[in-house]
Amino acid sequence: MAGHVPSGMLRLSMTAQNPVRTVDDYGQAETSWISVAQIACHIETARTNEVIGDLGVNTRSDWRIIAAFHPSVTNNSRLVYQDNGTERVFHIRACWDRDQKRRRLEIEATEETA
Amino acid sequence: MALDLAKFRSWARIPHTEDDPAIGIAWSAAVRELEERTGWCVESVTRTQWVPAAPVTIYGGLYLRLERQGDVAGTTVAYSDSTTVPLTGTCVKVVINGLIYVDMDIDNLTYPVTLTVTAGNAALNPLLEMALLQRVAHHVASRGDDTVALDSTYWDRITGMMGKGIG
Repeated sequence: MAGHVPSGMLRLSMTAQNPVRTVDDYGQAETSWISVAQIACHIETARTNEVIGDLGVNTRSDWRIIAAFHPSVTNNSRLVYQDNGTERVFHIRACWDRDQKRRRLEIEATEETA
Repeated sequence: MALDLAKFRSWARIPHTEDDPAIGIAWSAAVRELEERTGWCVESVTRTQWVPAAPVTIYGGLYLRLERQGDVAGTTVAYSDSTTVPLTGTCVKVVINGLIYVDMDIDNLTYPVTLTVTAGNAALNPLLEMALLQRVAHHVASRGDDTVALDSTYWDRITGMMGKGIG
């Protein structure tokens, strides 16, 4: 599938970020995010479920994204997208280079909703 | 115009540098392909042009269209005729309808004549530049994939689009 996505379809420019973990004064790990690349993306499908969270019913959106390949984007990364002034964060749960050509990444991501 | 990797990566939406060697190969191929197909030289090259007989008079002069076209400032043409001690010199360039011609009205010139043309290094027509970037993108996308045939009609369609100013 990924091999057949022309780069013209990758219309959304997202910022790929990787986590940096540091230890704070109390010895707890703190995560901050460092931007590694602007990558061009295409959102293929979205699926929204109701899930039960700590405070009751929540919604959770899973996205399937096709992106230009970048070697630094892994399962630990996240994508940040500026959607008309709203910052949307997509946590990557899985990503793979289907045809092993280092051309496209297929990404399964979960959107963080505050 | 040499390959501008950053420009190409931006055009092809390639955010990483791992494809750079392949892009270089594809660029050289596309530049050469453009030259073979249309005579338009992107990077500076030196080619010979064989002129078997004097050109017919066009536009009121003995103008001969160059087989290789580039930007005017970067083009030089030297002639060398077929006498035992060749008559050599530099041709005068004339631009007509966006194409480079040379004035073959040279005293005592004996045909056939060999022209040595150095053309290219051009500030490229933006449309042609885009077509070239796109062609390189095709090559890069299909690289190493023997199921993808090269589109042989690409430059025919582009030159049809350009109308004039291309060889």
